[in-house]
Amino acid sequence: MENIIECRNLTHYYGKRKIYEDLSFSVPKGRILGLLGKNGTGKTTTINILSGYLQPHSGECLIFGENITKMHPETRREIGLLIEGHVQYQFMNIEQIEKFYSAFYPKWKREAYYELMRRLQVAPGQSISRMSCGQRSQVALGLILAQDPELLVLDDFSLGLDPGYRRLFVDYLSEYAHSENKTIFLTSHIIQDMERLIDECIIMDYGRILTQQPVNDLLNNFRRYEGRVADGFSLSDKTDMYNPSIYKGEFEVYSFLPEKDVLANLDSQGVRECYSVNLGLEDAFIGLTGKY
Amino acid sequence: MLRILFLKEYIKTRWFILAAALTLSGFSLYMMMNLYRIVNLKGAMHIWEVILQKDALFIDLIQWLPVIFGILLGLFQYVPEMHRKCLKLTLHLPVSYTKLGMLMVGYGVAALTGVFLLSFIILWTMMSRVLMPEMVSNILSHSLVWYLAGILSYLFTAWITIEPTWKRRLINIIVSVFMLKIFFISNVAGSYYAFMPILALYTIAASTLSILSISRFKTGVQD
Amino acid sequence: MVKFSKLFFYLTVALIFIWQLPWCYSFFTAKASQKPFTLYSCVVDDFVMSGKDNTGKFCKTDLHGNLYTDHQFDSILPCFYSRQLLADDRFPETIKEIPVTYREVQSSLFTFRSTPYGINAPKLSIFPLLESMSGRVDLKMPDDVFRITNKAIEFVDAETNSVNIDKSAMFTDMLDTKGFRFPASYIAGNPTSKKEYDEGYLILDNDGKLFHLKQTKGRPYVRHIPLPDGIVLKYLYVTEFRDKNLIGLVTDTNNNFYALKSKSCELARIDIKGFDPETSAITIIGNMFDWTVRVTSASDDIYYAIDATDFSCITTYNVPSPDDSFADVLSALIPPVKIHFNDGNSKYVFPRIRLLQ
Repeated sequence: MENIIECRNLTHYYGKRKIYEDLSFSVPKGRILGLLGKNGTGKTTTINILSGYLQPHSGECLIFGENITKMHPETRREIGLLIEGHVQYQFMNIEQIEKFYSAFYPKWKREAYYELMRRLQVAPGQSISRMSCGQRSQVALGLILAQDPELLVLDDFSLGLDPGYRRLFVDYLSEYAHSENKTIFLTSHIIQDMERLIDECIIMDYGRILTQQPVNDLLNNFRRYEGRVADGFSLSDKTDMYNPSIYKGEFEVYSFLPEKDVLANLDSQGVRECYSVNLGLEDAFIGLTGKY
Repeated sequence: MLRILFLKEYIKTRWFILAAALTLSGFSLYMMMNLYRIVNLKGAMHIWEVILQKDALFIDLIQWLPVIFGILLGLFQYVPEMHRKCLKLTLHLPVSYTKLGMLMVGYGVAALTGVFLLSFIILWTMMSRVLMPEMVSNILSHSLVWYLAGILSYLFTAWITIEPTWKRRLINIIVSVFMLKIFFISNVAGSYYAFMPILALYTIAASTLSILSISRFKTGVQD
Repeated sequence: MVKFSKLFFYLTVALIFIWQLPWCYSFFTAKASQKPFTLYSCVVDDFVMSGKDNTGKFCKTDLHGNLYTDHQFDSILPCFYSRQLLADDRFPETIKEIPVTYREVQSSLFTFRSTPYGINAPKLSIFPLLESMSGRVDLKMPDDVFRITNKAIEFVDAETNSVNIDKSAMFTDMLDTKGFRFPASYIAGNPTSKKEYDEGYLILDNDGKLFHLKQTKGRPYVRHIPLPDGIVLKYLYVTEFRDKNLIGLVTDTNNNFYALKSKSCELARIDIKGFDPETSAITIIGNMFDWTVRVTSASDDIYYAIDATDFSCITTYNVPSPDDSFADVLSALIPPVKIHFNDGNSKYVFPRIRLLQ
């Protein structure tokens, strides 16, 4: 399958602080890929590198086969960019901003933008600076939909949105991406929203990628195991076990291994009344990265 | 594309440009009315004598205005771009960033030139009624130094505002202050006659400084 | 373009360094230079000076080290201090054995000064031509000014800001008649009414010929002043000294300095070494017997005592300028090249680059 994004051996430092080293991943065409990670693991750094606003210390990032730092300006026509906080030109109104962007994109779909604007029920001359964050998110989304790019890069699309606008945003985006076979690379700090939208996820920890796989595979294979243990219990065999913890005699641990094998292993080590729990994306994320 | 890019800059700056044009023209008119009043009270020869003997310019009042307006236009144009890093939107447009940077600066220079030209025409036409052409061109050619300083101050402001780090921004401010100081070393009409072409060339070259800041912005330089 | 802008930025920073570092140094280390006031005394036949000595004490002395009291100092400079001597009732009946009156001495006194700062300056080629023989005691500024174009002299009336055609034609005709070739290459005069009398203008025409232009009773007075062969004049000064002995002082392209006598219109060379008004300042304090001429250049300060009758040199006194030693002192810290935009010798703002040794 053709890769739209291909990042190879990305290494980046802020001063002497290493963010990550030799990070590699790719995003195939038509996939919606979510980048998940705790604060400070380098999500924004990755988005900045991908959108061409940060030169990595080493490594390269190709989009449509072109190195992002030397990308031909015309290629950017096929990349829709949503900046954190749905930032748009505050000094323009919704008509001016549509007119402005339409001049740069030959495939511009004016109707797609105005359809979303009709839902907002704002006057055409209303300045963006006077809009709520939710309204601004719709303007930003409408502009990206009208641009009709092959790749959308969305930085924390849920920031500042109430549940209604988040749902509206996710539903519109999901419908658009699936019907038009678009590729999306996104981050969000609200993982429930991602679950409704993404096909595949990359989960990052400090300095590395913990896993990249389709969301369905992750949710099917990654489980939490709970049971009771005696005082002073310690898991002796931690192979392929994630974040074991004990709180008041209640034991829990996460694993990708087959359910049967894990239950047998835990039982043999002294975990009593052991059972497995299916996870949502947020729980799976915590299972992989830990609570703290 | 040029038209639409200029439209964006126009939306940001239109009220300021109007205010700047009115203020500068207002000051120019005021100075000329003052000149006429002196001519009426003391006769034209009195003014001519003062010009010949004391190198008087009669328009010193506006000498700092072009620089002030240059700085303000730079702020009006580029602060909204830097607000929440809006410049990322502009640089994401399918146009090379050097072209975008130069077009934005080109708009500012054109707008400032328009504002300055209006004031210049007012001074020229009103002064020509009471002063000899040699005197008019001598005085106005000196005012060109101030107008050029105004354009350079605008270019410096663009450069400083887009610069992503505060440390470098501070260096840029210091460099700008020193370079602008050169334009105000002397207020003797004609004293910059030979230097003007060099200053004009410097100003043209300074239009590329904002590209340096944009390039630093694009590579994500941080403090 | 990024490479260019980077280079441009670094060049700008370098420019500021080589401009401001030496400036900062001289700003913080500048000392007031106090040179004693020096005149030639025909009484003691020596230069005498009043000012601080090496120990910082104020004294009046001569080159031979003789000290003078105030009282004595007045007496050895009887022309310069004639008012003081008259007030003390000490004004002599003779100076250098020549009988003099206070009035004679007073009317012969003059001070003349030319500096590169005044010479190297933008000037408007517009001049008011005063009426030289108005019949009134006080001079009055005219209501018009003149310019000399490629074809004519034009008088422009201030009230109407238009050319006075009749007056312009009258003066142009006169200049033509006297052999003046337009345009003028140099025009000198003192366009002020605050002077004793008016001598109009000294003008070099396009061929370098010297003319004297005045307005007498509304009519043009033009006189062609023939120059000795081989002399090409460069700078002209109309003197308008009270004794009316001279029309002006002039320099030629070889930096010779001449007095232009008024009666004979002869050029008399003043016996000083080369004087270039563009690089040297000259101060002349003169009386009926002698002139003290001080020529100050970047390298030295030379005093000449000049005989007032034949302009020969009586004696000289050379004061070398103090070395500009800051380059030695700070050579390790400051860049080897210095740039400055303004200069005490010029009103023009222009980058002046100097390599420091």
